[in-house]
Amino acid sequence: MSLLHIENLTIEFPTHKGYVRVVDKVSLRMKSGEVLGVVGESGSGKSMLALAVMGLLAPNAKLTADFLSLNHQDLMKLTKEQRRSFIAQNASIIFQKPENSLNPCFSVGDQLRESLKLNGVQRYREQQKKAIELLSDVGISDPETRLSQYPHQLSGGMNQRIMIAMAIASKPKLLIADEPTTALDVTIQAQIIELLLQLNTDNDMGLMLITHDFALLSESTQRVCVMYSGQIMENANSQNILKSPRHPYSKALLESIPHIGERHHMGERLFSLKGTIPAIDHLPVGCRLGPRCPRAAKECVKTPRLEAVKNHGLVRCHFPLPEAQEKEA
Amino acid sequence: MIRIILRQLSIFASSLLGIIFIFFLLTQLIPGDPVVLNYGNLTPGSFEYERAAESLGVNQSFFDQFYLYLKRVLSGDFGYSLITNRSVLDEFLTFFPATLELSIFASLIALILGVSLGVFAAVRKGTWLDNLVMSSSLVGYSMPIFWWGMLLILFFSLDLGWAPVAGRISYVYDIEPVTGFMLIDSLYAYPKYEFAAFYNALSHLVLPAFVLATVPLAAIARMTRSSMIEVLNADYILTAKAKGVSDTKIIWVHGLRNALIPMVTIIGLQSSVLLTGAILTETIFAWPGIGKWMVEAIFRRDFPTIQGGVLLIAFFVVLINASVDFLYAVINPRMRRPK
Amino acid sequence: MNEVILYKETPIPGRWKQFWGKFRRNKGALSGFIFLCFMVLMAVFSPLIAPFDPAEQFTEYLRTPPAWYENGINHFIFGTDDLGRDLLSRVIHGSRLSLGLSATVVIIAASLGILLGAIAGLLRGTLEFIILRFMDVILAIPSLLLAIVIVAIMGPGLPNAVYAVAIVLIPHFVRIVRAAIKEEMSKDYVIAARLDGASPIRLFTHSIFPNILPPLIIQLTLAFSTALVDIAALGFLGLGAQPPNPEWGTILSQSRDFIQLAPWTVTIPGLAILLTVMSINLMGDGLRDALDPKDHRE
Repeated sequence: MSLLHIENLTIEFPTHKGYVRVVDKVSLRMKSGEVLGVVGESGSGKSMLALAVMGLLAPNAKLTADFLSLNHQDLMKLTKEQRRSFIAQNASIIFQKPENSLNPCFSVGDQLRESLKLNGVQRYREQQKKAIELLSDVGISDPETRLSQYPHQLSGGMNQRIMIAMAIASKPKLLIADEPTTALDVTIQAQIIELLLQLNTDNDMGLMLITHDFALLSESTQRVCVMYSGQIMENANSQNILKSPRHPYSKALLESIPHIGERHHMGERLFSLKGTIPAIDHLPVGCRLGPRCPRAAKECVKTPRLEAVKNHGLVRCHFPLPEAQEKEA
Repeated sequence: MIRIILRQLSIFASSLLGIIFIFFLLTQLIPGDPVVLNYGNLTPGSFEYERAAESLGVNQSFFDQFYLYLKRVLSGDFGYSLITNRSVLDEFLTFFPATLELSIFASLIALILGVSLGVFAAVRKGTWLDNLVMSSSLVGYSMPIFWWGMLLILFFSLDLGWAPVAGRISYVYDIEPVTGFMLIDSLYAYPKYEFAAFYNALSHLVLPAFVLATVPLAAIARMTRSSMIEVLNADYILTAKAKGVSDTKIIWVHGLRNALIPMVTIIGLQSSVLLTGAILTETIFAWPGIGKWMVEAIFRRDFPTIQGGVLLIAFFVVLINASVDFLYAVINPRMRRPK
Repeated sequence: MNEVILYKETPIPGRWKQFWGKFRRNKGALSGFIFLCFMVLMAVFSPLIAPFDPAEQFTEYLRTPPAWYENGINHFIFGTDDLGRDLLSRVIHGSRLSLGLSATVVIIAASLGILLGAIAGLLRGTLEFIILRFMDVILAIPSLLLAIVIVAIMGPGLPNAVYAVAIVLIPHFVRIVRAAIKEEMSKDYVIAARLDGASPIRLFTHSIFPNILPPLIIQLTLAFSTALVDIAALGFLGLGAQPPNPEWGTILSQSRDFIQLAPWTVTIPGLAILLTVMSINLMGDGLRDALDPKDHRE
């Protein structure tokens, strides 16, 4: 059985023009201890997917799924309260802006102790001891002082480490990191990713790494899911995708990364798709990438299905790209 | 902490000075003989007239006159009423407790009801409860309270006879003003009849306090709702939910604590709204407070009373605002200096 | 190559069209707007609409109840007051006074407030400091009390009441305009315009003013409802419009003594004030939502 198993998950929001689908029939599985990368532009529905798994969607959101299980437990079969506490024990989430995800009114210690208390650590002194341990686990120096400080007194990287410390207080089986490094400095980014990967190996904790930045995933993930406009476009082994993306969108994402060491000519432009991601209530007919796709053809006004491609994974395209040849030196 | 106190004190002092200066300017603009305005009908040339003119510094320069005025105000001399001949400060202190009692009672109603209604509406956003709270708060917010007071008198006092029409307590009781707060004074006044006097005072207070509370209550409910909705959408609320914190605790601890911070200053501004309302409420309910005192002074053209009274009220509002700012700095951890 | 249009583009509506679209969907705001239009029309055409002269006394019909009372008559739909004047006509003529005076107040307060706010926002230094301190002092005095004092100094009567309420409303405009200018001035597009060499006046009219328009419009509606209530309150206290005038607050203060004998002379004019203020506030809420750059679509 898988750690996370999602079949045909759909999320809809009511608007004055009727329901709008922000996530459209997404299916994916994660094995325990696996690192899964979810890549997509802002608005692709990747954060909504994360919130749905955590049971944190706004009350007006309509969620439907054929199957949704976490750590061998079918979530659809639980009552609201049961689901909330089951998810809290088995999964944690960290968000993009650490300074917004910590409560500004409470000290770091208050918030850590609250997490520990919810996980059965009742006595104050024990909470304090555990909190200090957690802070050292995530690489925070001088943890005793930090406990009495408020989030606004600390740096973004420090706050993100505290978020991670809070997230692992419940010893979760799954940690969802929703763009955990986007708001941080580049040097700090690498440290945070390294910390997450280390926690992944040390505790056999599944890690769902959501990002818009392919470069961040590189070698660290085992599988990668590429999302666009609420749909999965490509879902494959990360080595395969990095070496030879089969979906034009994945290829475009990869090509838009500037490579250090590669020679860029003066005036040369980095590759980018024309246009922007379509508004979710103005979706094009057929393939959602259609209007922006360099390879679009008449066929593309029909909706493509997510289909298996030999020796690769799943791709949603009428005309998948051929397997790339080894790069000539 | 000391830094915050010093900052607030300096703002407070400069506001006071500004108010005194502008009041001085206003008094200069009033047409008529300043001596007559301040001391009543003295015959020019008489001994009293000359002495009064000297104390005002009528023949001196603008700045000397201001200096004299400032000195008088700071030493607590706000002039003497032309009608009663009592010092304006004494009169103010006689009438002020009645207004304070009414205002405190009204603020409590407005705060407790307003905040809880706002929170309930925010949590049940979009339901019939939210719609009910929002539409009644719109009515309350738009209410001309002098009319509202008359309607309530018509219904509760005249038709149903549940509440008295006017005053602070029935004429049967003769209460010695010790604290000036009728609710407290009436407790000790008639030991033989236990709480009869207290209940009587309370029944006089409820209707005017509710009328006075209406507009701030509606405003606070609306603000709490919107502030709360914003806070409930914040990431840290999601974090708390993901941790498994209960809904009740999320709303009343994580949510409300944050939602109240931006509201403290706005609630402070309501003190001015409350005093404005007190003028009208006191007129309708014949409540012997500073509002009624001021309106009567205007009709009697008792200039020193108007001038001194308004100055004292302005001082009080500035004092409230300064304390609110101080409170804001204390409850908002973000105002604390980074360590 | 032969281009085939595969995908239809949906045009995104312009700023004002979007605004109107959002405003129209807000039922409360729309009904407030319609009611207000109705009141404005009534105010403009009051001599044509009102069945009688507001001062005409029907001495045989003193304190006739409204038509829906048992002993009311259809001749006087809202009944008559203690002097036998037709209440409907008085309320209709009163709308002209109440709305007209409030509009005058708002125009005076807004033009002075915007001017002072722009000065304070664009020129820093002593002048800004003096303006702000002055406004703080005005804000420190409860609005109605200040208006009362100004009326007390200048003497009771309509023009003085109008000036008094206008003065009370100025600081809010100054604050909003100044704060908005300060905020806009630090934004990149204004810095770009400044680097291009735009003069302060051009900067204000072309770059800043269009962007502070939304908070200003909201403040205008707020000021309008405050002005309406305050003028009525002054009338009620006997410091604003004087008795024969059918100003709503003045009517209320006159009928106060007959509250038990003729309750309709109290309820009806008050209801007129409440409904008008409510419709302005409803409209203000709708404007605020519609002008809010943050989209509240869900």
